[in-house]
Amino acid sequence: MIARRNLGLVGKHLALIVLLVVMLFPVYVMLKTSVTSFDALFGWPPSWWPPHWSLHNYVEVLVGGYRFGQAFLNSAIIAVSTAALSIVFGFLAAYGLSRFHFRGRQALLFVALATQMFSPVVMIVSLYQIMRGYHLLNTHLAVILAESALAIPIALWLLHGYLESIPVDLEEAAMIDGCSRLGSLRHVVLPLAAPGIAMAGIYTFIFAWNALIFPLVFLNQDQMYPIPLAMSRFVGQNVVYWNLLMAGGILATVPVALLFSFIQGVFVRGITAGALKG
Amino acid sequence: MSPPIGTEPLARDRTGTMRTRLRRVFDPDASPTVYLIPTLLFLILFLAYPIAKVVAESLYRDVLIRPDLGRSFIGLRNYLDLLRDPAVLRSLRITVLWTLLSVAGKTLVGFAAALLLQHPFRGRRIYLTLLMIPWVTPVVVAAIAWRWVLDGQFGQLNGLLSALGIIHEPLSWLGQQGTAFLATATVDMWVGIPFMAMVLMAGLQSVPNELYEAARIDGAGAGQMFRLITVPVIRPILLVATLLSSVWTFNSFQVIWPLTRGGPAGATTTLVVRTFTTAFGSFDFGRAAALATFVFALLMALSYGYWRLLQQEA
Repeated sequence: MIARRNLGLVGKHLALIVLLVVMLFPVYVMLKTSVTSFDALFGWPPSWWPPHWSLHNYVEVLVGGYRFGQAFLNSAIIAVSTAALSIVFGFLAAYGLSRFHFRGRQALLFVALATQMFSPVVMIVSLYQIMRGYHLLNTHLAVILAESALAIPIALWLLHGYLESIPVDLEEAAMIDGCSRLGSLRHVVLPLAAPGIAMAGIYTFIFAWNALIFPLVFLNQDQMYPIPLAMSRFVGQNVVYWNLLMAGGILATVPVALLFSFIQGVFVRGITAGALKG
Repeated sequence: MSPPIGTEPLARDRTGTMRTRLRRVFDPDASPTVYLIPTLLFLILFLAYPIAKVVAESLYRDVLIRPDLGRSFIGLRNYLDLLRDPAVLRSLRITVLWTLLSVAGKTLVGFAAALLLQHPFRGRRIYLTLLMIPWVTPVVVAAIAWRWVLDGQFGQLNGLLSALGIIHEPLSWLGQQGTAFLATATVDMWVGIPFMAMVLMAGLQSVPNELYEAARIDGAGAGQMFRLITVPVIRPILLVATLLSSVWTFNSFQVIWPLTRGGPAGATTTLVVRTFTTAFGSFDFGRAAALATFVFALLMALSYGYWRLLQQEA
């Protein structure tokens, strides 16, 4: 019995290792290429280990005249603003939807969900015309507004689920004790919902950090480009600097990975558990 | 005075004057209005209005680079043109096949990973963390990395396959129609597998462990437990996850655009890629709007089905 169980465990590890080797193959190529010099890129067969590895590509990406720092900043402006707008608007609406029962509530929730199914492509034609009409083309604001229109419903949906899981008893207790609804919202709901807000904020941040199509259409000045567009700077007339592309790609991934590891922790800590005990 | 516990209207307010009634509608203590208005306004302005405008635009001839033609109302002409265009029909076929292939791959691999990671064991956290790497990689970055992996001359995949003796000379994966179709779908799978695995794992973990133990005591084998416990519990979650994934895959632009721009020879031009190139390649806004409206209608039909499914399972 024990032997059979061990055999199962070995099989499980084997299967997982095979799966991960396949899944991480491109990640390995990315890491390897990012520490390989340009001259060593184009050889046949491709090497499995960089001949002399160095961090030179990272330095080159950051200070080599590719203005990657600027692109990083542009991405951060777009992603932080989108996350902030999504949290404020999403939280207010989620609160209204979870604490009041009124006609049309289900319909609103459906609409919020349905927007998650839109492709930005569906709206890109008219949004381009609208932004052009308001002279917002080539501004970050245009990208932020368009991204937010898709991110707010996601935040709303996540926060609605989170608020539903916070018992109303606490707020009612506060209101019986003489707190106004806005007071209980500030002093009771907001602190309890903080992990949910962090989750929604990070989710929408990542969403906007990844944005491609709105920046592609709205921005045409190089210094406004966020990372996904700025990556094209590493592609020359007849040559692709794969070493720089991979180093830049890894730098672009780091913030997302850090933020993600943070929400993983939030997921694990069940926060309201115990709030009503005792 | 505000009502003590919130939502129930006070009797005297019902017969109030217009002004008190208005005040009640905007009372943050008694009505959801103030919480909903800002969000509704924002979404009407930047979501509902653009969609309505796209639908309206689809009824016009509006080619940006042909100002001589002007902008004129042409009814359903754009739609009729689309239906007659073999390239559009090909795009529809490509989209459906591409979506089916990618979603099938994501579901199969994601489900397998979820099953393997379902129960706690030593090292599970490490596997989980590593499995999340594709998910945290920005999609455009992932697509560019894959383009290098799949490079027709010096790509690592060519290196690997020739070292294994499977191919004898480098293959131009993204340069041929068939392999480009398969390669883009594979990259899309790669991007989507972690999320699918995570959702399905959460579903599997909702099965109480006692259920498995009881079944084990009753002498059930692993196969029986899978068929009689796991499958019924996971079925609704699987349904919802695959439907949602289908919609996202259908919409996938960030994977295809950096990899192939819809090429070679249109082999990876899905409907969203075609909408984009019609609008910002040929600048035929009227036609692009008609395509967008068509995609929108398709997606709405899918979302409605999804909503019904959720309601049913809840």
